[in-house]
Amino acid sequence: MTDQPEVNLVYRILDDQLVDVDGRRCGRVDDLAFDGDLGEPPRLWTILSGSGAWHRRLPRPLRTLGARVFGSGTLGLDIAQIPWSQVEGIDAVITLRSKARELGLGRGDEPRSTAAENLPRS
Amino acid sequence: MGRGLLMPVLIVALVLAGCGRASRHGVRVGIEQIASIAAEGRLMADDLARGATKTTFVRVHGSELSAQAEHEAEKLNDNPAAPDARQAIPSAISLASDIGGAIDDLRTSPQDRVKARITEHKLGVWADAAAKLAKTL
Amino acid sequence: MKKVFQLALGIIAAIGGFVDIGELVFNAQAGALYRFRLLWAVVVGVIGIIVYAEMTGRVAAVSGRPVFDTVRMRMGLNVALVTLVASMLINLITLAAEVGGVALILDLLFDVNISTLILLGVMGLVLIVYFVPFDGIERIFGYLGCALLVFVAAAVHLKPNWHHVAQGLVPSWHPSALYAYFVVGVIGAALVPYEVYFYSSGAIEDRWGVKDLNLNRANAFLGFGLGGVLSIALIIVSAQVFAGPQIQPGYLGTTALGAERAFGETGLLLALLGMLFAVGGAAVECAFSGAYTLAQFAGWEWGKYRGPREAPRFTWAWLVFFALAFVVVETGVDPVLLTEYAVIFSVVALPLTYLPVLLIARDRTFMGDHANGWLADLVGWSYFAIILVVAGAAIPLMLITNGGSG
Repeated sequence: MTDQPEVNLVYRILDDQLVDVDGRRCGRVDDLAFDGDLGEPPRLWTILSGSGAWHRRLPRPLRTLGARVFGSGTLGLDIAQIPWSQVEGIDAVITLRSKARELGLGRGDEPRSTAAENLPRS
Repeated sequence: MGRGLLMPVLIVALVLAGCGRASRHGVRVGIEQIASIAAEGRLMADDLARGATKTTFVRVHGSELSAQAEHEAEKLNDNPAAPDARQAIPSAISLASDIGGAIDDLRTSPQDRVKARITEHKLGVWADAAAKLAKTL
Repeated sequence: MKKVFQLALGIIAAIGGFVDIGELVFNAQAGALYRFRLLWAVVVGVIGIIVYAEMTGRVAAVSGRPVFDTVRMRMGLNVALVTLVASMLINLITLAAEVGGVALILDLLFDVNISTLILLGVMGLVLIVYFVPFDGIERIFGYLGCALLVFVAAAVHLKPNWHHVAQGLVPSWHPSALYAYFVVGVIGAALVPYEVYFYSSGAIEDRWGVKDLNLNRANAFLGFGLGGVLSIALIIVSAQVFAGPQIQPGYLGTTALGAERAFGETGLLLALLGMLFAVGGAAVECAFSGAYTLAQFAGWEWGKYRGPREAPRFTWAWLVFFALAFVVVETGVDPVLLTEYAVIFSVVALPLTYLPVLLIARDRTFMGDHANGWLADLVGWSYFAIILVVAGAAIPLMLITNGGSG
């Protein structure tokens, strides 16, 4: 037993919304990665976010197709790793300690992204 | 449901849905539709005669109704009907043509209230005739 | 007065969701075919949507989670992906139908080339949605859609037999597949998922919090209640005007004719105006719902309140939805037929949308003291059972009745 409160990772963390330090939505917890040697308790190491993580969670026969459609999990391209130490709080959303850009998240929603530049001002 | 069962069920459903030879029921549904168009045209004509409608509405909705009358007539003409339903088809096609024509007349001169009243009467007679024809099937 | 304006979300969600192009024709057909004998199904549908809309609004206000967020969290990636694909497809079909509907109504008003009107309709909707703030959009479509109240006045004016109307409100059964198809259609149409996607995301757009729970309740009850009253009025008008002469309504124009029979040209104009904004509102709801579901599934920034440059992918999503709908409807497909199929297919996707809402709404981990009480739970599960039955029966009935044409 530790003093830390218990958190059910699948129930409470997996698939939850990530929000950066500025309050911007910047992805979801698409997968979790653990480390730890054999025989030792595993430790939550990093959150994986991005469509590149999806194919691994699809039913086995659909994984190859899933990798083609959503990306196969190339770091920095279709998936980002967010160290667990970056997690500030777990509430209605998972809040992070840094800006999305610094963590490689929410690139498509940056005001200077191509998607944003091509829109007229409202 | 297993895959083996799914196909036959779908095929039966499609057949029930009316593919193939137009049954007595199918012909009746078509003629009822023609009666419905005439009855609706009659309401429009009545509103036109009373000056209680809008010209654009008569023109646009009237064109939908007359196009549907034509479409129903084409369907009856083109689908090989079951033998016991065949005798009703020529009268139904003729009625559909009269009804479509009368509704087109309303569209052509929507300001003519007297003509609209006459058309209303005609459409009423044809609606009754089509309904009676449908009942014979 | 401020309180009245705050009811706009419920009103647009209900008017756009309840009285969209499909309903305007479907209810008219129901009244023409069965007079008042389907009124009870409207009541069942209305209570269902009030229960679930209240739940989705409460979840959004308390936990900040819109519906698709709960789908992804509670059902996991795979089920969420299936729900996403299904709901996007249904949204697109429905949006195409609504855009087509807007063009048809403009045509009835102005008699101009339909292709031009489709283009003008889409452009008008896009410009309003792009440049008007969210609460302005709610008010434009919600309140101008209230011109549909002319059908309530017409229902009274046409002097139905109120005893028969009251009898129609009591559940009854008629042994035919077509009647069952209409029951499923009426209940299913009341519960179409895009209403709750829009309503719950709208609650976040309007920045609802725990203090707004009464506002949520009022929006759900009054907004969707109003939608139900309008549906009932459409059925009564249709029963009075079309059932006698055995008219089978198949066009938006036929529905408008009901109001014209009661109040002449004024009735017609009010009906067409209300229909224009109700169907336009439904189009906006569909486009937004599509963009909300996509953004919430993937975790993108979303919301009209963020502005296009702060939520560019969300903005592009609804713009692309409008563009695709424009292409679909320009092919000349019949919008009324399209929306009836969309309603029936969306019924199949209902359980995937409503189960996670129910699970989160009763979960004290997320909802604390605002979780469902025993009554909300009982009603929620009872309705979920109804949803399962309706979902299972929808497609077989559609095939057997040849899409409701007998």
